[in-house]
Amino acid sequence: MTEQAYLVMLSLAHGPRHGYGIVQEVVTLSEGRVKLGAGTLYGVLDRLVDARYVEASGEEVVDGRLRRYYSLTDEGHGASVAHTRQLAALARTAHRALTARPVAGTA
Amino acid sequence: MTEQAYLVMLSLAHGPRHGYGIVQEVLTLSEGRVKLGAGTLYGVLDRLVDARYVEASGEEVVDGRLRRYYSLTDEGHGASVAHTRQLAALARTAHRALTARPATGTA
Amino acid sequence: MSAEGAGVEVRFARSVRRWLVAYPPRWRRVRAGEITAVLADLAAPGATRLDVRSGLGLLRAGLATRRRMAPPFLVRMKYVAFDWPLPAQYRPWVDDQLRSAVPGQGLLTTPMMVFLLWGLPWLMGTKPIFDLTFLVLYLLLLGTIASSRGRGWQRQAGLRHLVPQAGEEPVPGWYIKGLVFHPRLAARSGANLAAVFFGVPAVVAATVLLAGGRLLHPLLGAFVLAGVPFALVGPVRWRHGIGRLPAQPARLVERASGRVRRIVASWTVVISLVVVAAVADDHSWIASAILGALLPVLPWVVAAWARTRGAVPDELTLVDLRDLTVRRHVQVDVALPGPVLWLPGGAMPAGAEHAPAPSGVAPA
Repeated sequence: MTEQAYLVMLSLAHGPRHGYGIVQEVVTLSEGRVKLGAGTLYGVLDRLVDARYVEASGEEVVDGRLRRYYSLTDEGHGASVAHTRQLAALARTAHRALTARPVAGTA
Repeated sequence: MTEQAYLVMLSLAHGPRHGYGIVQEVLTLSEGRVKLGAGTLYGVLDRLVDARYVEASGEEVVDGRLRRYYSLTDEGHGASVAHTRQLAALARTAHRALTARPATGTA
Repeated sequence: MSAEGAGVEVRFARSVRRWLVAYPPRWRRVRAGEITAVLADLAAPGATRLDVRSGLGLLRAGLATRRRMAPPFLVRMKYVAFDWPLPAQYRPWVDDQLRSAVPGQGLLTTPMMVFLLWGLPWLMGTKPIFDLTFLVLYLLLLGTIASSRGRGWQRQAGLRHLVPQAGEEPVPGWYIKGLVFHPRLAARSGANLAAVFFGVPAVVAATVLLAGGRLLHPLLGAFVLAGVPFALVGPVRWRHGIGRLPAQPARLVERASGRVRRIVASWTVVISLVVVAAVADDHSWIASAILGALLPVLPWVVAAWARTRGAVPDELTLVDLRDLTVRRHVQVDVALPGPVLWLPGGAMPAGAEHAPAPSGVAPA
């Protein structure tokens, strides 16, 4: 699972969002690190929909613009939870590996 | 930083390793999830060396085979520590986002 | 170190070397041994071939490495169009360009690629991609470029592009300006190549023209006769001259490498195909013209090939045979300024060519 896909799924964890809303939430979740462009966003969404982790969940017209909403499926939620556990485990393993390192090194 | 690059750097955190040793350690660190092929490994190593996060640190001949060792530089160690913090923070954020999700969902 | 020197089962190493072909040549020369050892560790014990999945991974990674090492398009254009010396980080890429068959062009313009694009459809009976006229002109252009990029050009281009510029520190394992031996092609190796390159298309052309009912033009007979005196005089002068050639302390005699042999083979195949297609398309004058160009040299080439079948001194070169045939006085080669590998002290494994690996991995 790529980081972008993961962040998109997390952004949908609290309920459906539309494209622009997803982009903003991803920026927040990643503390400004990940800014998705429209092309990237829809590429990720397409793959997530194909994998049935995400689904389209309604449309509405706002100010003459069509907004399509996306929401996380149960499988998507499960996959996100599993990936989060993996990340946390990796971070713990990494922390152990990195803090035991001898200080001597070369630049 | 890609996950593969991160895992390779972590595998070097406790001291220099050679190619095959890196592959084994990455497999362990990722709990069997990430199995690097030789081509991928060398692509990652080359980029890490270019970025000065990793450096070649000696050769020896074992059983008639040449083993070249790689080690983590101080900059590489710093980058790994920073990325680990990021990961841990993301995991915490994700955990909060996912556990507050309402139980209703669609399959 | 080479793949075969890695201390691994030879067949496995050879199989790995085939899969490594997507990597840049310089990367292969420096890292093949190391990656072969890792592949051997990863493979099943006693494996004699690399499995297809790993091989495909190597192909993919090799192409990615080529992409990564190549300069961006605008920088590359500066080099290709203006022969501009590139920054030090791209010098390994430039080194590969200088050594390749048609420098700056890459695989797509070598004769083998031309064969695939044009000769193969023709052989299969489908419409060829290129028009015959275009192909002939294209070959002439390639031939002109290739023949103008001899050793002298490589030496001077190396001085211009590979050697550290003023103000730069020399890098251990990379080139510096020095004196290089003058490389020459060994007599037997060169005569073999010449025999193939001149002989095969000539035979093909003569066969096809005769089979097509086109009588060979009388001028061709004149061409052959023009070449015969050299073929007769040569062996006589060789008999007297070979044992008395001057010592050549600054000369490097080398046999044709696999790459050179493949290039000559490709050219031979393509020229032969042009000949056959020309007659088939009712342009037999092209075939006759090619035959006419080959015939005057052919008798001498055959004589040289015959002479080098037997024992010849290792230091005998093709140019020696040529010089003995046409003049009495054989030039003594001198060392000329050119790029030389700087290997400061320390043991280097035999046969290894150490250069700062394309990734910056410095030799230990």
